[in-house]
Amino acid sequence: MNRLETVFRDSYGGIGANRFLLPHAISEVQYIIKRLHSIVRILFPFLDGSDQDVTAIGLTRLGDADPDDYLCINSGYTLLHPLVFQRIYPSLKMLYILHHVDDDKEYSRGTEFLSQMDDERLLHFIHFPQNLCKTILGKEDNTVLEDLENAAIVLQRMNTLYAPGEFLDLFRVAFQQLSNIQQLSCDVLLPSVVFIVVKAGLSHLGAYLHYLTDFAYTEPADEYTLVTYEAAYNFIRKQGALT
Amino acid sequence: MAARTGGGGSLQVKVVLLGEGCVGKTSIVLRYVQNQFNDKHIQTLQASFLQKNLTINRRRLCLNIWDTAGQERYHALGPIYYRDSHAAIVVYDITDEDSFTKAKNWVRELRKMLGDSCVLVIVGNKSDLEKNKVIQEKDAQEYAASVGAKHFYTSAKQNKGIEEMFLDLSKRLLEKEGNNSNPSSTNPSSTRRPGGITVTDDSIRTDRPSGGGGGGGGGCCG
Repeated sequence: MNRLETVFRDSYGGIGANRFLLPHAISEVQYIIKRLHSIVRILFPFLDGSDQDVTAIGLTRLGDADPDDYLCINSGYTLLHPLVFQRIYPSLKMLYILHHVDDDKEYSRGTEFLSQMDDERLLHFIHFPQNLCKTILGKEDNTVLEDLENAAIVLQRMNTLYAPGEFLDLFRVAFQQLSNIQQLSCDVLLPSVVFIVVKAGLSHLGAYLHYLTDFAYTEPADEYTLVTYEAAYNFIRKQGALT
Repeated sequence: MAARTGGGGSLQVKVVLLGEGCVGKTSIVLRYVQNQFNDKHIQTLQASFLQKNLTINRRRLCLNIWDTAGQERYHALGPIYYRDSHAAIVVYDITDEDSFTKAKNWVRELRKMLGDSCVLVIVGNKSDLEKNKVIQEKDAQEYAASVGAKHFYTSAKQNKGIEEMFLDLSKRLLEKEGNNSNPSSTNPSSTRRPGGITVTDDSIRTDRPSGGGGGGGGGCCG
């Protein structure tokens, strides 16, 4: 693994980093994960089930996972990703950032533009549903605003993560902060996500979302989550392009 | 995009809900999946992403229903939501002519972006407000036929027409997917419906909101 890390870093990181290398880096990472996964399967030949079964059962039998962790370990991806990405993520992240430098500039301008607004103007601008706006701005009940701010604080941890599964967990935790908001249909959810992304002041969101699209093991609900963030990102980026 | 087969052999399909705000998109799907309706339209569960499992003629189907934002401000983000959809439900309010015009815009856009690959249903919601109806049935039916869609009237408030609409949608989806049938286990709660279709409501986990999955790992339709 150390050698793999060195080779990857020397190939794609440092001063030689170039956005055109991204597709090659992605193929290489996918190849590394596939090979490591084969090794896991060789080590546990008696577990000749599906990819998911092999890693989940294997870990449980080794005693490395307690019952709670077992629920989280549902695929080879969740097992191998932390091991692999911990080592190569800095170089890979830089390539994604370079690849999205123009889009993310617009997005940053959009974030700046929107974050200059006070809460009331921002909520109106992003067409937060009127009835909830009244609740929030009426100062009768500030819990909604608190929930949104707490979700934004959760999102700020994004810069400290590296494994795709951790990002998805973060999104889940952020959504849990919003679960007290009534009628969380998409009419509410999308403006809420725009709001929390602006408040969180995330940089390079486009790069992160592209990375997750490439590597995250997603279930349908996760796909919906990612699309919601992508929609919020595009909305903010559009505001940046207009300013 | 071809529907994929998920765990347990059920067919995973993506159904997107489109329409102007306040036409009742979310109410329809909540009524269908959770049999809920509240006049004040208040519910505490997240309602943006819902799943419904069905067994139709021994073939299992998992509807992943994606809500979209109805605000005009977010209209341009539509393609992000409906790309790769297998079916679309375009909802309008029968008492609001503007919502019907918006529905037509959605249909035009969908056909342009997805071609004929997407199973399309046009829904006139709030049929309980018949006396305030401004969109005539004949016009709506003719329009739906002209774009290769089916038209339904629903009332989320009175729970009318919703089951039929989703059943028709599911049958058309299965027809489209051909004969990749997956016999399911016998379920005693099956009900026989007119026309010889056996429909089993596998009901099930429905309140898994966007991002609320935790680490279940079991997929939606196990």
